[in-house]
Amino acid sequence: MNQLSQPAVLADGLCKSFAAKQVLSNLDLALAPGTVLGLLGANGSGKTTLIKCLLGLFRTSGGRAQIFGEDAWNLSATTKERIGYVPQEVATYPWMRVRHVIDYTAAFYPRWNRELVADLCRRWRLPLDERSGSLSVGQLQTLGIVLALGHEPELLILDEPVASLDPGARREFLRTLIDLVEHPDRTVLFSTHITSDLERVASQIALLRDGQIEFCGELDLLKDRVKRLRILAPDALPASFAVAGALSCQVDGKLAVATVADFSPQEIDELRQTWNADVTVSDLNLEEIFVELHDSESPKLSQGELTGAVR
Amino acid sequence: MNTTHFEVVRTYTSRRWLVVAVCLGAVWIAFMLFLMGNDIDNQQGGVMGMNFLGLPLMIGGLLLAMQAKYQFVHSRARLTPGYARPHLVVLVALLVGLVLVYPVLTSWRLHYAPLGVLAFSTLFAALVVWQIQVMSGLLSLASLALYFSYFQPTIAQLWVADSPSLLLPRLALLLIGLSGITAWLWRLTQMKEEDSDYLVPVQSGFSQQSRMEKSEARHLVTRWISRSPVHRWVVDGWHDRLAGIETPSESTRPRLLRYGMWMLPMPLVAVQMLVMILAIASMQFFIFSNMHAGEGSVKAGPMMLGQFGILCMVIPAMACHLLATRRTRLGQDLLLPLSREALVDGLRRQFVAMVLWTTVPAVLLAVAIAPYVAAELLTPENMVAVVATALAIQPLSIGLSLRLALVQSGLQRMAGMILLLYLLMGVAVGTYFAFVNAGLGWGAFLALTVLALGIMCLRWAHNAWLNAELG
Amino acid sequence: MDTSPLQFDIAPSSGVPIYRQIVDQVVALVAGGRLTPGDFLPSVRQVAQTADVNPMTVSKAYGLLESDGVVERIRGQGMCVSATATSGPLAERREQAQQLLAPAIHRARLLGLTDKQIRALFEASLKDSAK
Repeated sequence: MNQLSQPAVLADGLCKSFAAKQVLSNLDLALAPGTVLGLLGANGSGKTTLIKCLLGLFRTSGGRAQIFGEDAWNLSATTKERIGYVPQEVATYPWMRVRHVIDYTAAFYPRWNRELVADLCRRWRLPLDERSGSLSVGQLQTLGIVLALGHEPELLILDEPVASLDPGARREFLRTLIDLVEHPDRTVLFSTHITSDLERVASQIALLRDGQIEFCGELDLLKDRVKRLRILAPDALPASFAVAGALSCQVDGKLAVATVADFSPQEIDELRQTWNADVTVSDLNLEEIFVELHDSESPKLSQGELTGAVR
Repeated sequence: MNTTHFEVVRTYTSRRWLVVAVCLGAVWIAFMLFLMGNDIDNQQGGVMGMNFLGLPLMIGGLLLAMQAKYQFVHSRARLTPGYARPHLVVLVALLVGLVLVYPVLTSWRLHYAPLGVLAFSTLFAALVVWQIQVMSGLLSLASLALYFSYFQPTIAQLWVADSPSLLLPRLALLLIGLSGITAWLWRLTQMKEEDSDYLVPVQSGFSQQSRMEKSEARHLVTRWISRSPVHRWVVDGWHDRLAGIETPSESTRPRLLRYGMWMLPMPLVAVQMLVMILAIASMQFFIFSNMHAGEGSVKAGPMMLGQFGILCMVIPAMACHLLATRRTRLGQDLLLPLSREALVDGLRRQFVAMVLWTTVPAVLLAVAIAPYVAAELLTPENMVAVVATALAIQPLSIGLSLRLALVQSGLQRMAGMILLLYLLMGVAVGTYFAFVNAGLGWGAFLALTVLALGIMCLRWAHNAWLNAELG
Repeated sequence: MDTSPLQFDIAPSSGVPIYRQIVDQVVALVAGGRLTPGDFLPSVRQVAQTADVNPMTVSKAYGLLESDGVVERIRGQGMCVSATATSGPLAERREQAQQLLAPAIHRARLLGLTDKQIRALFEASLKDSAK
């Protein structure tokens, strides 16, 4: 495998269980260099576990986890120089002042961009002279982000990095990310619940459900294919009314609302003709798609359903 | 008792291991009381008073006070209607059992004056709960002083002797104690978030910490540093050096791990520990020499040196505690540009260094003191035995405590530490007496066996660390 | 002439993918005559920074516009509206306009208007906007 085609992050048949509880089962994921992947999943779906397995913080129960072609559990120092990681709960040495924490981290790296770090600290108004123990949760999180960016990593992995940030700081974080990915070889993997952030910066989306990646692909593709149909028929629709391949379908008299995972104009025409109905199609944003897909009753979205051409 | 009270009681039993430990302790004390009660004339108090009154009251008081703080230092205490009443009722019931009923039973069994014992128990319990409430070092000193007061014959009389003339002072002390406890109960319900005592005593580390407790611990450390200017100066001066360190090579990076073990550089930690050890040992020296003045059977000097040795075995326990608290941050440290082996190796080096920095000066100090307090022990045979024993148990002690630092539950770690201390003491005493009584050959054989076992333990600990999920 | 990146009105949280929003808006600007042949589109970086979106999405939109012949890439200068773009295929423009009208007609019917009334309304609106 040559340097170019080698994925930055690879999970191959990854399994992880704690005692009797299986969190990840046979999970596959590959991240090409230059991708910005947003990891979405319900609470407790295993996002943090996946990230920790990929970084070698947890030992996998089965399968492989690799970063830049190296086994995640035994990453070499040189590979670690290329990785930046922001955990969900940033922990620091509480007695150190913020600048000490930065200096401590900087001392480990052969290349450390002091100007960048100073600039980020200024933009986020990090109190450099305060003890890190007295920082608020949001400030700790920004400190964590600064620490992960100082060595300008090729691969940045963030576990809900913005959960405690105010909207202004969150936008600042997105700008930093956008600046970062201008370099075509930089790869970012981040989990979040804030779908509007993903819509801005993610080029790919991975949906984690039941310990597996349910969908991994372009965000645009998802938005192009998942649509909501509003069907208004002249007569009451039968209770058995269904739309083929629908994620959900509600019927109420003459009106039916269905969400389809694989939108095609032909299908709409068919519906129009069969039921002599008025069909309107509306777009769904990522948040709505997420809610549809995570409805416990909705069928699983198969990868094959979304392979249609974008245009 | 209705269901609410029952639910409150259940919060006390949620820490299973603690409950088991407390029950075992209670059974043991009841057994000892039963065994030793009648045939002892114990009007002087002394060790008996300390063991049967001081110890249960101290441990029970600490546990109750901490549990009460867990219950009341939380917004739910003020927001849930009818919260305070059932919690206070259960707490009062437990306090009555511990502070009033149990001491009366003891006094009946040991033939102590009931009122004197009650005066002691209420006063002592009040000090203990307030010590947890405000986390004051001064109060802990006061409660320790009271604890050891059984060794002072005059004061011990006040607690245990049958003497009508002591009625009034005893009543006064009893009243003071009772009002102290009542004031504490009242304080529990009145605490507000901005108050300085609105803190959970998290440093006790009884369980894996929740998010709230972690942030509390962070603030606690910060507050603690900011109190003393000297401390601030030392801590900052040491860490300011970090800014000057430039791009070390891969092999020198693990040395940086010494920042982050604790806020002070290791020599200073060693000095702190030594001062503490010395303080405790001298206090015990003083107490023992007072207690057995003129008896001649137990000598204070050797006793003190023995104590000194035992305290030195506690040093790895301290290092183990520091390393275990660092554990939460190791997930991030693991992603610093160090291989897993280099990180684990670096941490182990820091651990060993921390133990040696304290142990070596402590041993030197003991050697320096020995001629003054126990000159008769300075025979060549004895010296060989002590030095060989001390050296032989080091790998065992370091290896096992390094392994214990991986245990995440604070309570299990503490239990393990106590067991380890007993084990080490047993091994040390055994080896020493093998040298002294069975001759050099047997002694050397035993010492070498211990040494080999220790090295195996070190390797075992190292492997356990390499395989641990540090995230 | 350079176009300001503020010309684009991008709503990242809409159901329409960002790249499609950009494509549609450029086509509309060209069709409406606000972008003429020879005009340069703002750079990918500018658009990405102004709208706080991933530059790759913007490049993707520009790539599609290029392959559709709306713009052409001029080395070292950027994306330039091509000479053939203005006239554009009429059929396509008609189709776009029809897509805009369809929901309006649908709504009007829901409001209970007859086709005749809708037609009259449409004529009146046309006159109004011509003023």
